[in-house]
Amino acid sequence: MNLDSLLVIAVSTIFINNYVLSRFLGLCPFLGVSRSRSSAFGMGMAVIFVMTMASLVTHPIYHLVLVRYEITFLRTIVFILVIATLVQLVEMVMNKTAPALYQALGIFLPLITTNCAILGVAVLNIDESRTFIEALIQGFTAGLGFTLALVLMAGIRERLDLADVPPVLKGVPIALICAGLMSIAFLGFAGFAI
Amino acid sequence: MRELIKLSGLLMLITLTAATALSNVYLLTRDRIAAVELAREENARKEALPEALYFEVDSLEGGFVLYRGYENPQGTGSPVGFTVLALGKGYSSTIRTVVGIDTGMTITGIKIAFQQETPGLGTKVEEIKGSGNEPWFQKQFRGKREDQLKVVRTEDPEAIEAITGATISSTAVTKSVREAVQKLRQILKES
Amino acid sequence: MSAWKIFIRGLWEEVPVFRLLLGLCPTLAVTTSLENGLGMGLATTSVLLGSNLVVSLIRKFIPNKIRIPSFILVIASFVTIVDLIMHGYTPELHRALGIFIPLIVVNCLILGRAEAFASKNSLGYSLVDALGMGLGFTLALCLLGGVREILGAGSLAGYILFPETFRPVLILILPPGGFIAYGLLLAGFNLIENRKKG
Repeated sequence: MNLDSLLVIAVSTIFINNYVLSRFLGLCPFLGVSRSRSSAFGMGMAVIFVMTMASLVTHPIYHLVLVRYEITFLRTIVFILVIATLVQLVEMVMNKTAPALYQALGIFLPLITTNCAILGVAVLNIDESRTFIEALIQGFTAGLGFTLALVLMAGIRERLDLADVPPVLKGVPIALICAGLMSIAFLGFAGFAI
Repeated sequence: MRELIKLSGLLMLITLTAATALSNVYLLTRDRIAAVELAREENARKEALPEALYFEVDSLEGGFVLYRGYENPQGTGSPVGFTVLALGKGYSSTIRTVVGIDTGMTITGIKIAFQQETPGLGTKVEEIKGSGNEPWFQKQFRGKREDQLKVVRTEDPEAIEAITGATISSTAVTKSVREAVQKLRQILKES
Repeated sequence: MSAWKIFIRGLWEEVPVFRLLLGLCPTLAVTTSLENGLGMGLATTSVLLGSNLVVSLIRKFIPNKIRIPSFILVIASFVTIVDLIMHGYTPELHRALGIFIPLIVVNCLILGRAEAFASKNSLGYSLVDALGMGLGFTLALCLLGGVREILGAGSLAGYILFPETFRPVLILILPPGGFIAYGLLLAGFNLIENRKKG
């Protein structure tokens, strides 16, 4: 495992297999928090942090505890509890250090726990047999990819709010179609032979 | 403080109940799951090396899974071929392919054991077209030799035709099969 | 509210995916075919039934402060049970749904029902609610999966519908198609709602 393979992981996680636009993970916050670029960016930062910490903690727990004692079937429960705890921590810290952002994110902050992208990256780290460093990088870059998709979507939606959208498409439907177009664009990365 | 103990205690109780319930379900299903996985592996080996009626594991070191296949159900005589597990980095998953190779280093067949490629594109490596029940992409490997394991875009009896729109998946499988043949050749030379 | 009304609510008025915008991740990811949509819908319904059952039973004993972690524990347990059973008894479906089976635990639909209904209602009503929402979710997944499979792969439940000359709209079973198909169907539902009102 060398710098080369870490770069491959980074590029593929952010662009080729973007967690939101290719893997369909993290859709609820993607549609819920993407109305303004600033809250999208704030959410993205929180998610990057939680994803990295989640990868950092769940990987050793799985290999050193669950595998060793042959209780890998407890994976889902243990992982989700770790994530819930991390989110709680982030909430408490954010309340003290960035209260404006805390208010802006509102209910979506505790909802990071149910962000399937976070549990998703923890599970994918295991299923794809990643080493610890690879798992860390994958967690971090998955967060980056998520933030990228979120901020791009927010930029588009800010414009959409000023456009003349047919009533039946207003809100979520038109956002979904935009997401579809973004996803097509990201499909273009599939041509990269690395 | 008292409340903290009470809350933690309750949570621990729930967790213990959950863990107990799960352990029981696990014990009940464990054998069944192991049997399912084992059957899957054996079927893959049989499809990759149809002539063999008995398989004997040769080595499992370093993730290189090698089985010798014997025509005779008792496993006597000389092996009629080998099965090797090939791993290829696909588009969105590591594709696991069981490769059947006869003693003349010709491919007797491949069976893709695991893939999670893009639905509708990469998953076509397991697609069955028309009559018969063998995926056309995997069928073309039969009878090929190592030098014929290269990916081309058109139908070519001397090469491997890629799946339209799934070049990465097609190349991943082909490359891993080729490497498997090379590794087997190396191992046989050493022994 | 009668039990029947509670049941029906999950099938139309507050149907998940199209009215209640919850549980979106598995929705788009597994609806590449009718069969996968159906399988995921039934798996989720099983978890929903189990979790609503237990949450309703223990609702009087859980202090408010720890209710979310408790719900998560209950849901995660049922998800693991469903995962193990599927692995042993429906291995092909288990493999097709892949990572989205453990992800049922973060399907906001389940936590949502536990929080909004099961923690405040009796056992019987909670089960009915779970059945209604679960079935509604399953039907929604089947609708989306069916549409995407017919137009994107030219088949339904594995049966080829069109002759060889039909070129399916491949993009519908790829990620972009998921977004677009869902967006258009959602607009359709909005249209029906608007016609009803005006």
